[in-house]
Order: sequence, then C-alpha cells, then structure tokens
Amino acid sequence: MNRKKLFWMSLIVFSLLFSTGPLGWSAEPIYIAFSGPLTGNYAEYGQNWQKAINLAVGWINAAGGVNGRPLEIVYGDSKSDPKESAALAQKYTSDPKFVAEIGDFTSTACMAAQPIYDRAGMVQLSPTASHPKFAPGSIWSFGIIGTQAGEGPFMARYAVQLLGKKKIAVLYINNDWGIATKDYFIKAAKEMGAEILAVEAFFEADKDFTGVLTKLRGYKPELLYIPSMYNEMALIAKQREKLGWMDVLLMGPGSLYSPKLLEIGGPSVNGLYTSAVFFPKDPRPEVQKFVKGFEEKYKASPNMFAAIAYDGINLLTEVIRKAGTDRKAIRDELTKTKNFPGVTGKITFTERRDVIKDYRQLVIKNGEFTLYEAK
Amino acid sequence: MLILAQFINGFTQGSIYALIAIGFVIIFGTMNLVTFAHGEVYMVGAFMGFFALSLWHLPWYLALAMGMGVAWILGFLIEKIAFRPLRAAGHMPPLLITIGLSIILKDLAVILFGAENRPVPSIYGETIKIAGFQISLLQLFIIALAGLLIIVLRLLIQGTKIGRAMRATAQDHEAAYAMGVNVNRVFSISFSLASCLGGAAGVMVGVYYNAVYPVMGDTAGLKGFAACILGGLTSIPGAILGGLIIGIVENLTVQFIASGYRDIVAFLVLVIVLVIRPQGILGKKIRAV
Amino acid sequence: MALYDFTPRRNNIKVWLPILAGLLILPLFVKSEYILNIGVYAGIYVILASSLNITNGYTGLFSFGHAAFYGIGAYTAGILSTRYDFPFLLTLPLAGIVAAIFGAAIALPTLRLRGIFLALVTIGFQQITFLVIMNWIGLTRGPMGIPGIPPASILGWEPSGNRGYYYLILAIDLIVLFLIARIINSRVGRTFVAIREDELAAQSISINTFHAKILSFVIATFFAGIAGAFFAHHARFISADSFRLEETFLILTMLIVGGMGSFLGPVIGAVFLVILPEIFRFLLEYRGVVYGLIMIATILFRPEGIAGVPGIIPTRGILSQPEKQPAAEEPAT
Repeated sequence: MNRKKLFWMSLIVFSLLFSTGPLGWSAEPIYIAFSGPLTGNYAEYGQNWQKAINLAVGWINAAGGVNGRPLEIVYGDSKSDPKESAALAQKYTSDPKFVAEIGDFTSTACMAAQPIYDRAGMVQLSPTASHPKFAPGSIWSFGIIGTQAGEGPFMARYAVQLLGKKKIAVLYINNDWGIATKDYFIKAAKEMGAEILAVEAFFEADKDFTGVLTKLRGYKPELLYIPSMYNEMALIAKQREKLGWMDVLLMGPGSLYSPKLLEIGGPSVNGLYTSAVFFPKDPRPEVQKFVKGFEEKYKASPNMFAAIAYDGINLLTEVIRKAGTDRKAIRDELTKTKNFPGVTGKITFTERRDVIKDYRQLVIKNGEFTLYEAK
Repeated sequence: MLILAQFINGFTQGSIYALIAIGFVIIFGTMNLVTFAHGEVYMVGAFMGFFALSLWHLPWYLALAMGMGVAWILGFLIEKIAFRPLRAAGHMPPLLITIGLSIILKDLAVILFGAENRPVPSIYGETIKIAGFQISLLQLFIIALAGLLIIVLRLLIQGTKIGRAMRATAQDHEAAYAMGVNVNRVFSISFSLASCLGGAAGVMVGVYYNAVYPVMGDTAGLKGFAACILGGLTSIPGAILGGLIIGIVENLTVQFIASGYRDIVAFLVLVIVLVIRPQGILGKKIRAV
Repeated sequence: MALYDFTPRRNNIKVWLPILAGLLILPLFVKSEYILNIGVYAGIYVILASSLNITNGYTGLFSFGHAAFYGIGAYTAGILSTRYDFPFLLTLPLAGIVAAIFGAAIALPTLRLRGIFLALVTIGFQQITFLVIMNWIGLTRGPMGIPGIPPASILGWEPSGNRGYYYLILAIDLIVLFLIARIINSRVGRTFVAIREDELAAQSISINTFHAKILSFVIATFFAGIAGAFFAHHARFISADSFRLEETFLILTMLIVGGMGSFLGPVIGAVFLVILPEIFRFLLEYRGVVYGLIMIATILFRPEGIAGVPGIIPTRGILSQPEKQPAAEEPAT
C-alpha cells in the first residue's frame, strides 16, 4: 500500500487505541446542575445534599456511569436565596450541556427560579420544596419530599391525638413554606378539635424572640407549633428557657431533623417533637447500603436531607438511563415514575408531580433524635 | 403582668441600645462627627466575646474585657485612618470613609468567620421569682452591667484629667486647644472610648441572643443612632433615655401590633424626630436647618 | 479639556460616536449570555449613579436613600405587571412616576435639613421603605418576593436573551443620559449648582431654592424608579433584599469613585465598578473589601474621583486635579 494510505491507517488505529485507553473516560460526561445552599443560613442542609450526591455519583460512575458516560454534577451555591437561585437558573438553562437540575432547598428559592426553568424547558427536581403550589406550578417542576398538605395533618395528629394537646399557639417563619406549613397544620388541628390560641410570624435570620415569646406566653398554650429551620428553632428554644417558660411543649416539622439543630440548640432542644421521612435504623436493604456507605465515607450518620438528595440524584440517573439526555424526554420519563425504591420511601409522582410520603414521629432525648413511643 | 414582662424585655434591649447611642454622643460631642462604622466595631467586639466564651471557655468578665479591648483598638485605628487625615474637611469625607470601612469590615467578617450564626453559650440561664413574677436573671444581669459601665463612664468623664479635657474639647475645641489641651489625643481617646462601649454592647448582645453573625452591626448601629438622635445628639442622659424608650416601644409594638413591625419603630422615631425636633429630647438646639 | 467638563455634543461627536458605535456592535462579537448580563447591569447602574448625581453631585444634597426609590420603581413595575397585566411600555414610566411621587413626599418635610441630618433622615426613610416592603405581605408578598414578572416586551417584540436586554438598556440609557444632560445644561441645572456652591447667595438673587431642591429630588427619584422597573422585567423576580442600605452605598461608591457633579463621572463609575470584579475574577469573593478600599482611596487621594468636579468633597488629595480657574473659559471648538 502507498505511504499516504499507511499514514491514515496508522492515524486511525492510534486514535482508536488512545480513545478508549486507560487514561479514563473518553465519553462526554452527562452534566446535571445543582442549585442549593452551600453557604449561608441553610448551609448545613446544602452541604448534606452535596455529601449524599457525591456518594451516589461515586457509586454510579464506578459501576460504569450512565449508558457508558460518566455523571458529573456542577455545584452552584444559591444560599437558598431566591435572587441567587434565579440567577443560577438563568445560567444553567442557557448552557445546553445541562440536562436537568436538582435543587433548590426552600420553596421560595424554587419558586423564584421556576419560571426560568419552565420557559427554557428543563427539569427542576427539588429534594425539599414542600409547598403545595410548587410542583403544580410548572410541568417541569418536581418535588419528592411530600407537601405540607401531607405533613400538616400528620403533625396535627401527633400534637392533638397522640400528645393530647388541644391548646396550641403557632410561631411560623414568614416565607412561602412557613405560611403553607402553618395553614395546613392549623386546618387539620382545628378539624381534630384543637384551639389555636395565637399565631405570630418571624423573619428568617431574626435573632430576638423574647418579645414574641412573651406575647405568646400570655395566651397560655400547651404546645407551640413552630414551622422553622434549625437556626431560628435553636434560638427560640434557648430564649424560651431564659424566660423561664418551660411548661409548654415545642414541636416543629421535619425541617428540624438535622444534627445542626442539636449542635446549636444544645440541651435546650431536648424534648422537642418533630417528624422524619427517613430513619437510619430502617432495616430495608437500600437504606442500610446508603447508611453504611455514608458512614464509611464521611464518618457521620446521614440525616434526612442527605437521604432525600440521595434519592433525588438516583431518581434522575435512573430516568436518564431510560430516556437519554434530551431535556424533554427526561421530563416525560420522570412523570412515569412508579414505586421508585428511595431510602425515604417509595416514590411515585402524582399528576401534580409531587409525592405522598410516610412520616414517622420523632422526639429529641438526651441530645439525640429518637422515635417517639407512645406510653 | 404581660406588659411588665414586655417592659423588662424592652428595658434590657434598651440598655444595650443606650450603650451604642452613648458612643455616638461621645464622638459627636467631642469631634462633631458621625461614623457609620460603629455597628461593625460592635460586631467585632461581639465576635471577640464569642471566641472567648465558646472557643477558649473564658469567664464572662474576661470575654467582656477582651471584646471591649479589641473594640478600643479598632476604634483607635479607625480614628487614625478616617478622621485624623481629614480634620478640616467637614463631616462628609470622614463619613464616607467610615462607610467604606464598614463595608470592608463586614466583608472581612464573612470571609474570615463565615456568614452563619455562631452560637454563643448561655450564661445565667435561670429565672428568679420576685413578687410572684418570673424575671430572667440574664436580663437583670445585662441591665446591671450596662448601668455599671455607664457609671464608670461618668466617673471617668467627671473625675479624671482626661475626662475634663474631653469635656473642654466638646464645649469648644479651639478654646481647649488654646488652653493647652492636646486635642488630637482627646479625639483619639474619645473615639476609642466610644468604640469600647460599642464592643461591650456587642458582647452583651451575643450573650443575650446566643448568636453572633457578620451583619449584626447594621441594624444595631442604625438603631443606636436613632436612640442618640431621640435623646439629643450631645447628651449622654439623653442617649440613655432614647435607648430605653426605643427598646420599650419596640417590645410594646410586638405585643400589641405584630412582631414583624418591631424594627420600623427605631426608624420612624429617627425620621419623626429629625423632622419635628432635630435636637431630640434633651439636646441643645443645633443648627440642623 | 478636563474630563469633568465633557458632555456629548455635536462638536465633540468625533469622541463619543466611535464609543457608541462600539457599544452597538459589541453583541455581534460577544455571544456569552454571562458577559451580556454584565453589560445589562452596567447599564442599570449608569442610570442609578447618574440619577443620584443630580441630588448628591449637582445640588449638593447628600441623599442616602436612593435604593429605596429604585425598589419602589421595581415593585411598582412588578405589582402592575403580575397582578394587573400592565405592559412594559406602561410599567416603566409609571414606576418612575410613583418613585418621583414618593421622592416629592419625602423631600417636602425634610429638605430644610442640612448635611448630616439630611443624610440621616434619608437613611431612616430607606430603612422604613425596606421594612414596609418586607411586612406588607398583601401588597408585596414580603420576604417571598414577586416571582414571574413578565419580560420587557414592547408591542409584541420580546428581548431574546440578554442580547435583547442589552440593546434595550442601551437605548434607555441614551434617552436618560440625553435628558439628564439637557436638564443640567439648562437654567434648572445651573440653579442646582448655584445651590450647591452657595445656597444663601442663590436665595439672595431670588432663586426659590426650596422648589429647586424638591425638583432635583423628583428628577433623581424618577430615573431611579425607571431603573427599578427595568431591573424587575429583566431579573423576572424581585425581593426586598435587593434594595437595602448596602445598595445605596454601592451606588454612592460608584458615584464618588467615578466623580460627582459631571456628566461622565457616574457613567464611568458605574461601568468601572460593575466590570472590575468580573475582570479580576478572584476579587469576586472580596467584592466588599475591594469596593470599600477603592472608596477610601478615592476620598483620601483623589476626592473628585475619576471624572468629577473638584471641590464638591471639600478636600484635596495627592492625586487631585488642580482646580479650574474660574475666569478661564474653554473656547468653543
């Protein structure tokens, strides 16, 4: 054969050799965008997400990736600030390499970014948005933690029927999620015969609760239901102690199930009642695999937030495996999800693209979250 | 009973506002100038207190001393950078520099300490019963401590040589200079002293609310200023009165209106006082118009 | 000719026309959404700094409440467009008008105050505006902000990505700057400067300084409101967080660094401070520190800023320009 042919043949052979060589992946990665609080008031939640997602992605890629391509997550820090999540949404949707988005943390941040994902046509899978209006707001929005429409009645049952407290006051965080949480709880509690004595609001990052706690104390409630995140709850617990108001029970939704609450709140949060969709001692094999893997890699037990992010990324991966990397195909496949075996329970999307969860009652004893046992 | 409880809440917070306000009065009284960096000095003092209590497990009085000491030093530096070089420039250029400094300090705090709340350990968490009514020991402690600092301050200003120099400079700094007072030194000490009080307030707030965070100086500084204006820019008793009034009215607002409106009180007071009676309650008539 | 004297005119068209042409064709070469976004923000801040310049620079009134009017404009546009389906062509001017009404309302009782007291009362107003926005949930949705603001569509045309918004803000900037230049070079503008230089003297020649000061405020807040409306339709989501005291300080920094009392000053200041952290990417985290340092350096070393009129901030720095002799007049070329 002539020299030219030889040259071209060697070139082709060489490139074939090196393209699949031991130097690693030759295939173009599949990019998923992440929007969540890695710093700021909700940092611990976002960092938990990141740990769980890294764990899952590590396993996925070690097993050969998704249809032969490695999975890569691009992390964007939104601080769960609606301005930032909207800005990240602009950035992600205008970059064609992203096939889907996982995040954000608060319902407000999610809803701020929602119109952008909707217009551009990209899946927005929020692990934790529980506002009932989020998922129905756009055909591209999905929520996997259940909504307050489910958690509200559950917590109301816990307070009114299990603990037998009928005189309740509510102190809620003034944002989309807080308002929805309070509304669903109050509606269900009233139906069960409870009396809502007072309802007061506070803002995110508020520090002073002495005034409002004193005001609520005047109504003599038996139980305070507090839709809040860990920072404010810890301060509320500490300040009520300072005011000497110990004869009232404190209860809050599953947003409080986080080690940071124990760390910041210290002994003041003992006796706090809350809920969880995930419990590390759950004997199901997928849960144990996750818990053991997480403990081995990070030397700490995973909490609900890690678990829900783990489910989120695994769900997206599964869907991409089936549907490929077209943004619309991913969305369509996602809606068909039925009984996906998540560590936080089976995931099936309703027509509103949210899920119905099973909750468990928790109470903090001796600086630890434990399952509530009725006496 | 409830009103009394809110009253005590307000008195406690008001004492802290008073400390900040006194700082502004000292600075304006002696130097005829305003600083927008006072909130950040307060924040730095608070963080120092946090580190002392939480990381090094020191007793509260050491934490307070350290907070006040760091604030003093920071105040000294600020005076050297912002005010010293621009003595003859009126109030605006140094004000602008303090704005720049406040932005820098806040950003540095976020970079060095992170934007999250730092939990300050509780002290005096108990309550005591007086006449069948529960009062938080911590609140009493803070009120007493603020009162103590104010008494010490008064002794300083009335009884010492440097205090006399400060009063003379406040009255008429050119005459004081002519009488041999080292006016530059008086300015420097006044600013440092005011900053030191701000630092004390910061430590106390950290302990009271169990939280310190980089932007805590914003609202505190502005509310302290409102208290200072309410009381009369040049009067220390006025500052105390202004601080207490704002603290109490804030808590009564929470009780009778809603807790979200609490912060508006201080700013409404600021605007209304400036429009109707710029010299405040106890201040001398000043050329504000 | 000193930078602070420069106003785009027919006789210096050779200077500004190439720059304008360059700005117009920029998007043909730069396709990155991210960079065009920076351009859009530079455009918004040019309006904000230039409008603040009217009160703080030309009239010598130190207002610290500018971000509140920016916010009032943004919320007006946001509420009218999401709740009542007003189109952009209406929300933009209405936002300016509503902001100007508030500006007049604030100015009336407070403009007799001087110096630091005016500064304080404007800060008080700024904070009250912020807190009212946060608390009046029925009107503004408080901390949840207003999402889903429609894009800036004009008679059917919608901006396609940031390129469209870039051209739109460029057009708005040109109109606004043209108007500001006309105002400044008119009798009204000279009245403003007279008030700044010596209010008593101005009063003694029968200038109604009170009316003039109110007018200055109204004009400045009108343009701030317009900037707010544009911001709302571009970002599609607004919350009270964007309109805090920090924002006023940012705009003020741009004005001081660029220079007060001149046409070019705020324009240069805005563009410079928006672009700076993007050029030096590592500065992005330290943005606060950098802005603070630049502000301090400006006041200490060159208080008139890059292109400002010397003397408004009454100190001379090491790098200051020599003050222009009042008698020397630039011959018209």
